Amino acid sequence: MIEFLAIDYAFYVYGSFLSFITVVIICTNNAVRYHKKTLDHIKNTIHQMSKNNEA
Amino acid sequence: MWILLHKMASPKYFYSIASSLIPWLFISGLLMMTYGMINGLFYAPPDYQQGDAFRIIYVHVPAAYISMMAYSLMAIAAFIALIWRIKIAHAVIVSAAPLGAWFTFLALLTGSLWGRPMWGTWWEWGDPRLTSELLMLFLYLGYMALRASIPDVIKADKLSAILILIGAINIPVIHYSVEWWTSLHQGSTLLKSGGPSIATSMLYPLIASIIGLSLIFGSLLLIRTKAEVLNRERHSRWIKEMILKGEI
Repeated sequence: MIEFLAIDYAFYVYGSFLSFITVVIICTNNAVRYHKKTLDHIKNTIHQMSKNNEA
Repeated sequence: MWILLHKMASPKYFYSIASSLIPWLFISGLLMMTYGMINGLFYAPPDYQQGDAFRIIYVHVPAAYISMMAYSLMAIAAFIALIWRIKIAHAVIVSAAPLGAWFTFLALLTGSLWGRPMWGTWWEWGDPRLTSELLMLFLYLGYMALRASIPDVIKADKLSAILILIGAINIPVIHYSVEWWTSLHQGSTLLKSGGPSIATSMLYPLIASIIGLSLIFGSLLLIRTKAEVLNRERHSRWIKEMILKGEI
């Protein structure tokens, strides 16, 4: 493990890999949450409308 | 091919196809990215000039590639949307912009982290590759700001698509900047006449990283586009039917 960390320019190499993984996680999280939020909102509206129609 | 494209223009068909494609794209992309990153970080030999700092290529090049590919995709979609007035094309543009902006930011950040040990500086304003890439980040942000400032969706779609097409001039500028002008940035490694100028032990993980990130980008784009389609088609009968049947 220490050998892996002891590569040349470790701060720059690991810093770039870490920033890459962080951005991929942020983009995935944002996309999934955006879709879920939109779908939940539309589902609630439609279910509410169908309940009102039944009433 | 034309039949498939015609079908994909239907929001309902697009939604169903995208839903089945997303997990396959994401999982295969993740596997390829993991292979590329682990091999690039731990098994590829160090570069004879740059040492281990060259390993940044495995995250910098895929990010830069996606930043340009996302904008090219947006420009093609803008052209299709303006000429053929296909609604899905506008949804694709809206969905690709934040992803493109993030990956352009990442390309600039990792480039800066690579530049510091190799060039002795985090940033060089006179460098054409760096400044044209920064201009692309501003184009992404400008596009999103323009959309957000226009409340009418149809008008926002049209004006922002025109902005995207005008900004597309920056794509060849970024690609050829290292050939047209003097630059600190190295020339093209992969797309050059005579084939890639990189050892195969370094090349394969790089190709895996690029393909892997492209697949992940594709899956994220489809997820965002699905949400955008839902938003735009929320009053359509097909959405109501699918929700009431429990299909989505």
